[in-house]
Amino acid sequence: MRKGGKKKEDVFLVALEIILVVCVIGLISDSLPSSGNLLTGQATTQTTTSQVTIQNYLSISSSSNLSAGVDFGTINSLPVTNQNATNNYNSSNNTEYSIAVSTDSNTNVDFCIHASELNTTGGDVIGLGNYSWEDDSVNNLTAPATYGQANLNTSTYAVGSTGVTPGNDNYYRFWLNITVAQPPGTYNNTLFFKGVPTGDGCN
Amino acid sequence: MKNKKKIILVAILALVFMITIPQAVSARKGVGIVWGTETVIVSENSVHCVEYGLYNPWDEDVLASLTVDGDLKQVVENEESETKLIKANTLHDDAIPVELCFKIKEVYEKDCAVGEFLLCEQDCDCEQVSYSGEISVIEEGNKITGGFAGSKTALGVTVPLKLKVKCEEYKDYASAYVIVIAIVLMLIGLTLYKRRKKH
Repeated sequence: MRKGGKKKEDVFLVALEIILVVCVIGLISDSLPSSGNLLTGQATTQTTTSQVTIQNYLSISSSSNLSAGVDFGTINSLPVTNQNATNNYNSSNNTEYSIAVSTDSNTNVDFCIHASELNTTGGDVIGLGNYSWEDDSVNNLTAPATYGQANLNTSTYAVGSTGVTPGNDNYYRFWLNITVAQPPGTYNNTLFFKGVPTGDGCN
Repeated sequence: MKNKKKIILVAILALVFMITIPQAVSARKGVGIVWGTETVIVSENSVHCVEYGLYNPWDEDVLASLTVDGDLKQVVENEESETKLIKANTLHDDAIPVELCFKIKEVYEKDCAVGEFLLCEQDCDCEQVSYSGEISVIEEGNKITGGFAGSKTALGVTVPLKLKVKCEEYKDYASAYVIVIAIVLMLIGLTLYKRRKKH
């Protein structure tokens, strides 16, 4: 009777040992890299790597007049239509607002612009529908054009000149309409300009 | 003789004036970015860093920082890099390196037979997850003093970045094997212990 019990135990132990071996083999094979890396055979191959790094670089700079801000001066009589920013026209009828693409760039640039609300600290607002702009890669009396102006937007960037090449400038003009009902005050906002590699989109 | 000296002095001063004044008037400052990648393939549960270079080939020193926009905001470790002073005439070859790191969590669902860790497999039959956005180098604000009325301006350069998260197919039975091995070892030990006790 005792002998039968021992035999049962032996069978049980052997079964456990088999399970143990199977599990250990399973664990090892599970931990090894996929079989693709373990294939062996008579054919041998040699590999080598090939590498190339493409680096892009792009730099832009605003003119000192644009860095200093776009000012519309003091307006004493309302309404005004297409009030010029103070540096829209210099004595040569050129604008003094510009952004240059550095010659130390290796990609063409698309220009984008958007603005925050034009408001007073007291909360009065001149809607951006009244604030217009134009840009051009040419700078003279008629370019950037006075007509065909685009309005600014607070939420999305508007696309300006595209494909401006290194070493060249993009020129800007700005205008403001103010209705007769506009409360007096000092109105401020921020214009955001960004350059993106050509074709990458403004938003 | 004296007059001649005076004329030369005036001529020299005029020359210095002509050279320096226009430069001062047209002095520009700006920002630049050097980038070497727009798409990166990353793994789940990993941190991936992308290096950018900030440079300023213009006439004046600028303060600039890198910012992240778009989906990338969800995974970036530091949304905005620390502000760096970039000296004037820093060409792209001497760009100041700035690293942005992105922490990618587990994004693909795995099927587990028991709980969330036992007998798991990932079959990758879903759409690839990716994070897109923009990396911008922004010139720190222009200081406009006095009673200014109008628009301050901010300038930046933006480049795109897309992180594609790689889905790796796997079947993870290791934890199940470990549990079975532990149980088997316990049973063997218990059986041997009982046998020794009987003797």
